[in-house]
Amino acid sequence: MINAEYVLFAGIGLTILADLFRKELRIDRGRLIHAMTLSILVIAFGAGLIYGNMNVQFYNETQYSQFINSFVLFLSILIYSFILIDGDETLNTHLDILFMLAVLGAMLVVLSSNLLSLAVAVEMLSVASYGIIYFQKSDRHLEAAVKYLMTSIVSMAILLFGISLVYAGSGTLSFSSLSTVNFFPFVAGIVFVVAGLAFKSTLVPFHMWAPDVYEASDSAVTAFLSSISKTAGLVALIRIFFFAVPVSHIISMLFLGIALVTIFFAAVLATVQDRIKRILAYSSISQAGFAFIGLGLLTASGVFSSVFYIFSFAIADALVFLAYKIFEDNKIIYRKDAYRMGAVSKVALVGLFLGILSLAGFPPTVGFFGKLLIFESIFSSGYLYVVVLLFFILLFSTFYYFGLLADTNPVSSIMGRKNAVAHKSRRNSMKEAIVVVLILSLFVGIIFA
Amino acid sequence: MLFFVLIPILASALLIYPLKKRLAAVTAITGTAGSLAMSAYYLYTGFGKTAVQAYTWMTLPYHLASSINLIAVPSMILSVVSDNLSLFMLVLVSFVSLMVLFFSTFYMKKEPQKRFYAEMSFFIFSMLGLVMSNSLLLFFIFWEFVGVSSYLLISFWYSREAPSAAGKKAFVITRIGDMALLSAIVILYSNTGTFSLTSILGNLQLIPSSTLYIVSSLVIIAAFSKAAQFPFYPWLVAAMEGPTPVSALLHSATMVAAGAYLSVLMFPMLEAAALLPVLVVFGFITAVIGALLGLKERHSKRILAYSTVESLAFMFLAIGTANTGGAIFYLFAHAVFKSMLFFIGGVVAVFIGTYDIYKISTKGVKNSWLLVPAVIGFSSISALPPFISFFAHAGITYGFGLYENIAFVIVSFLTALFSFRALFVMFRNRGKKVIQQRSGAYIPVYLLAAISIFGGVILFFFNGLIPIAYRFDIFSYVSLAATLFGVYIAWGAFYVGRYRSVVSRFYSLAKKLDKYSYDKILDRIGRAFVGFGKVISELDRLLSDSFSRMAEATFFLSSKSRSIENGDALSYIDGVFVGLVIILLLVVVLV
Amino acid sequence: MIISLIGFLVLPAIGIISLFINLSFGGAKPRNITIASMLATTVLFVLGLLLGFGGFSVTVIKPLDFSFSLATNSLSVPFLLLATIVPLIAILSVKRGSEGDKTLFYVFYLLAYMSAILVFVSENLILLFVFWEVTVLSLFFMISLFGSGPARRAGIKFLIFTQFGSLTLLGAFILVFLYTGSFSLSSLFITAASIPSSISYIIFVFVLITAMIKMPVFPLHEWLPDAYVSAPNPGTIFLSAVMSKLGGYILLLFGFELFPSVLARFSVPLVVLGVLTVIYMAFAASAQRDLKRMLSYSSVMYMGLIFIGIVSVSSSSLSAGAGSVMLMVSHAFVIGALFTMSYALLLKSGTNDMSKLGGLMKSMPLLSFFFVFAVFATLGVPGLSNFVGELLIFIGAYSSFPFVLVSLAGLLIATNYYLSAVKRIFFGAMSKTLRKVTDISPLDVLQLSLFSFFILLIGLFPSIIMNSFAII
Repeated sequence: MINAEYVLFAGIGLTILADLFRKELRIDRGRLIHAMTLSILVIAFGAGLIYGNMNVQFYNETQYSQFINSFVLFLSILIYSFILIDGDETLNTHLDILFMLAVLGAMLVVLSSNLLSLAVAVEMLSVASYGIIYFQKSDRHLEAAVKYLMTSIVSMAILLFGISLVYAGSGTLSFSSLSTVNFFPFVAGIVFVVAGLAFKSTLVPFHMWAPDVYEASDSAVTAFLSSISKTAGLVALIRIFFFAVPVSHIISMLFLGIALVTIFFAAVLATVQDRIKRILAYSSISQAGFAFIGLGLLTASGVFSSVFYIFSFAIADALVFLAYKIFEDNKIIYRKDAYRMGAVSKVALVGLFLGILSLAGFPPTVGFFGKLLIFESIFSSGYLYVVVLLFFILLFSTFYYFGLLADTNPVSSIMGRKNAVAHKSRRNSMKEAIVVVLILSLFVGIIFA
Repeated sequence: MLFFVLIPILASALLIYPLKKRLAAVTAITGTAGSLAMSAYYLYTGFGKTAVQAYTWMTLPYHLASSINLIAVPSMILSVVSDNLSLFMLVLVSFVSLMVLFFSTFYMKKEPQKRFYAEMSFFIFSMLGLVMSNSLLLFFIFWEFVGVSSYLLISFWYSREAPSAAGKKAFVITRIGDMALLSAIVILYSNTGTFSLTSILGNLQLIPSSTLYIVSSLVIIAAFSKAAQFPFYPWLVAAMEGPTPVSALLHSATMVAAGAYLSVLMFPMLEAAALLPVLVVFGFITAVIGALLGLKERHSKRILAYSTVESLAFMFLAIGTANTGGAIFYLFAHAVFKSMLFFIGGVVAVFIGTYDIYKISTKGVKNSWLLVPAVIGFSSISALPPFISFFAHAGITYGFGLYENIAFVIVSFLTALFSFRALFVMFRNRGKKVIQQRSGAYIPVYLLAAISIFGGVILFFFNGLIPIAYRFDIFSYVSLAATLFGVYIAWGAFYVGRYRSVVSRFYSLAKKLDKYSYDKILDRIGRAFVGFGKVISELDRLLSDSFSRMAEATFFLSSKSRSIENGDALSYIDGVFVGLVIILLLVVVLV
Repeated sequence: MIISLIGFLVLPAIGIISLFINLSFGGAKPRNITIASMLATTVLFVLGLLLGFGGFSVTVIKPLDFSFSLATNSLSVPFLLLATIVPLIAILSVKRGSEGDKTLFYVFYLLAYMSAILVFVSENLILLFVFWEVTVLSLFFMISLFGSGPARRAGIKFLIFTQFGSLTLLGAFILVFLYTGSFSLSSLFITAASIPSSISYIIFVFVLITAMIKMPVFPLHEWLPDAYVSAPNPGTIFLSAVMSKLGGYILLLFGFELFPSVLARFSVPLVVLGVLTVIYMAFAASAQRDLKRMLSYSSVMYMGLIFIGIVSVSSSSLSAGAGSVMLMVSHAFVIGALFTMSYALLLKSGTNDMSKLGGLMKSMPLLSFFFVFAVFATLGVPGLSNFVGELLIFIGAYSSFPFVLVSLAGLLIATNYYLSAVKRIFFGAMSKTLRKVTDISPLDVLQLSLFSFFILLIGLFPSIIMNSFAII
């Protein structure tokens, strides 16, 4: 079977070899390698659609894994092409390998059916991410990479420690047979595992690295981190708690609490930020909290809505960060600069606009249906007060999202006929094309609901 | 086909746009003359018959499940009635209106014609519609029209402060009554399921007595506010700022008469609710207040206004003593002589240039053609024989008991005093300026004067038209004597000039009391309301700001918590551990 | 032949697209495109009235029961009337001022126009919510981007409040879906009875909050004065004439039509709240010096009356509901006319502050005529449109809640402040600074005549509206 993962794995090997040959042959241009990477990703995407994912010991398909891995690949393709277009001729070929590794890691996280394989996959994703963050060598990116590395290592340690405790508690690491043999180590282990994965999913209080790293990284990389990497973390949590660990009502409440705190905290902090990217970073954190609600409910409909929600915000996050990348290149950093956005790129502005609408949950975007499903599953679980709390918390997010949108001042910008700053290039329009694809998926995505 | 009487609305509509300015008066007069002719014809043909014509304005469509049973399908039926009362009122209203329109051709020559005649026609139309309605809904519709058109007419000279304020005052005060009437209609409708006056009055026993009491009180409030009775009378006096023809119309057969007419129509209900004594008490209070205030007034039109207030009070006295016919007859008499007096005041103002009776007195008008009609008019107010209101008083006093009669004697005295004061002061001196005889002025004045002299005889045939009871008894003559005494005093004080010190003391007292006048109290109440509005609005601003405050608090909160994210990765790791410990503790405690 | 409701989506959408095309290629005035598009929609509506409306349905997401289905229900037609015609008349006045010739303004206006119409014919609750939100969003941008004064703050405040209402509405819809398995409005009419009573209470309260914010009703009206005052004039008219009616529509639908027993349980406090709103707003309005602000408060006052009508409707007194629909239609035209005039006044005289105006009747006879006319209409003078609605509301509500008559005091106060406004602006002596003020343009006259025409039409022949809907 030609599963997506095999394709990627083989692709990584091939790319490494090809890169070696290239260097031996002293061919300076890495275009070939980039094209190869892109085609590998596309093939993997196609393979994933047709043949599904690999299904072996430690790595099993679940009901949703094909869907998730497909959109992970889909988004990877778009983000990668964006990076490709954005990077100049000197784009390091290491990036290709790292990127594919990271994608593969994310996909394996989704598939893992054993805590050990999960840890390996998470590690794979993390290690590759450090490299990706630092692939363009600058102080800013170095700072981001170091921060990410430091915090990530700690969280990995926590995760691994947790896994060992779980093993002590239940005598097995396989999701299908996890059960409480020894109560205390098991529970403590589970908490540690949650903490480790919550780090990846940027749940409060393990989120603190995220705004800094998101902000300091290149925006395209941030798009990757906030969509694909976060997807992986959340899906892993789903996998563990919905399929493996027997959870009590209280744990469920605790999860809901974490989710609500995450949403609230991120929303409140986002209101006072003056840097656009930081607002987007906090919004991304808050979205993770939302997706986590579905998990906290631990019902089938909750998990389903959670998965869909992850999908919806991954698309929207990728969209807003990629669109923002275009603005960032034109020195639009602060909110007060936002009015120039339209002059830089109308398409990107529309992309940012619609992406934020989707994040804010406005119909008829995919984000609305995500929220709809989440609300529906909360209602069906009977947590009415959670809904009411969410109503209030959502007002904060409305506040900062729409404050930002109003700042962009689309009146003079979208409608202005002259592009004052714009240096229209083919490169820019290709970037815009990617943004357009994402905008379309923002609306087409609703058919998966 | 009674609707044909309403042709003044056509005149009004025509005047709003297409017609030429100089045709305005002609159009309005033609319209009103048409209604006069038409109503006279209907009175002739429909004498003694009662016919009701109904028109369904709208019904509520229901698509109901059969399980729900309905009490009543509300359908709004507008109906008009032609019986003796309404036909007589139609004739009266259109006749007086016609006279007023004639007079307007003289008085309003230099004013904007189209607007004036359009509004006048609309006013006449509203009053005509009001007197022929049989459905309370239709009655209310025209009642409101009367209010609206009076507002427009009183503030006709909008660019001056006083008329616009007066118009507003009139509309707001009468609006109290409008709301009361609307409430009454709503209550009556929910109790009887109909708007038709005949069915409501025929089914009074269906209404619980407490409800009946409330409804009747509301109707009385409505009637009092329109008829300018205590405590609502100030609007009528203020309304004198309007053009004189408007005042004439307002005071004679239209606006204020509507209030009395409402009480006449609703008389069975008021009687059933046992509220008639209220009418009597308030009638006397109003009559005394009107007479006393009229006595100190210098403005000729305002004196007439107070006299109107008093006359209306007489009508309520008649209604309150269960003699509605007497009230209607007095209404007729009053409409005739009061409009004439307004015309006289208007003519004097046109030629002398003032309404102040003392200024008129210095300039002098004694030698003019107005003297005779004025004497007739003021004698009519005071009910001297053989003028029309002497006979009308016989109708009013028919149902009086001893106390009412004694009170009425006092009121008669006061009436004579204040009305003849006006006459004597105005016509004391001969003047140099000639008061010309313009056809627009003297035709209506003479015509109305003639009716004032000879109209009294109608009383003896009136019963055939509208049931009326009248009586000339000992108190009639006592009242007459009191009146004559009043005339004598007035002659002495204001014509000959005796008792000067008493008079001046009276004026200074009145001036002092002016500070506490009822008008000012009303204004203060109005200002208190606006002040309360300011309080509410301030409250609303606070409330509105409180949300902004909450938003600011959030800002504060978040800018504080922002310092947690200080960019130091090591502290983030601390954060991770803290979070981990908290969750661990929570889990251990909870599980 | 019947008129498919999809036309209400297609025609304005064509307008929006052509606005964008025009931006790049054409030289036509965006205003004309907008008017043409709205005119076409109105013609479609009139044709639909004559020939009948046809539904439209496409399933989008099967498991979620999200289908793009449009159909008229028993309440739709009067709301369609106000939603198609009032914004069209309102846009006629845009000549200069802040919105000027901005394409984007018209895009948002058309978007709001389209979505508000479609809310009234959405058969699927999700679809209804989609259009509901699009309306809010377009109005938010209209206020924030094209408003005057503290428009940004007003816009955000408006959005936060209405967004909360939207969320509760969404909550109600989801609950409906969970307990009936369908988002379809027409099937809800049948299945609503099967919803457990505790859940129906929650649904009702959610919808009530939505409506109370949207209409708005007393404690939740804070967003309104700022938003109304800051919005550009067509936006204000849209807010007051159409958007506030969305709340009334949804409350009527979920109140009496779907959950009558719940409504009956809540009706006494709600009617009290309505009465309180009327009185409170009347007092608040009477203290305003700015004409537009006064009109805003006054608009809320009438929404309070409408609220009374809606919440007091019961099977024995349907006339209150009918009256509230009548008043909603009428209020749309009346308040539209009044806001138009306050805008015209602002353009001509440069201020809306009543204490700086005076004696304008001399130089603006036409405006004065229309203003006095509209004031009488709003005060409920019979023969003009508000009267019938008010009367029906009072008749319907009185039998169960005699104390509603207290709210007549609100009308009395309204009489006072409206006449004060007339007196301050149009009567009295003209100040020197206003000497050069000219009367309104023929276009304004056309616009105000259209408003007045409908006010008279509804006032004289209320059965036209009355026969077009049914309170089931």
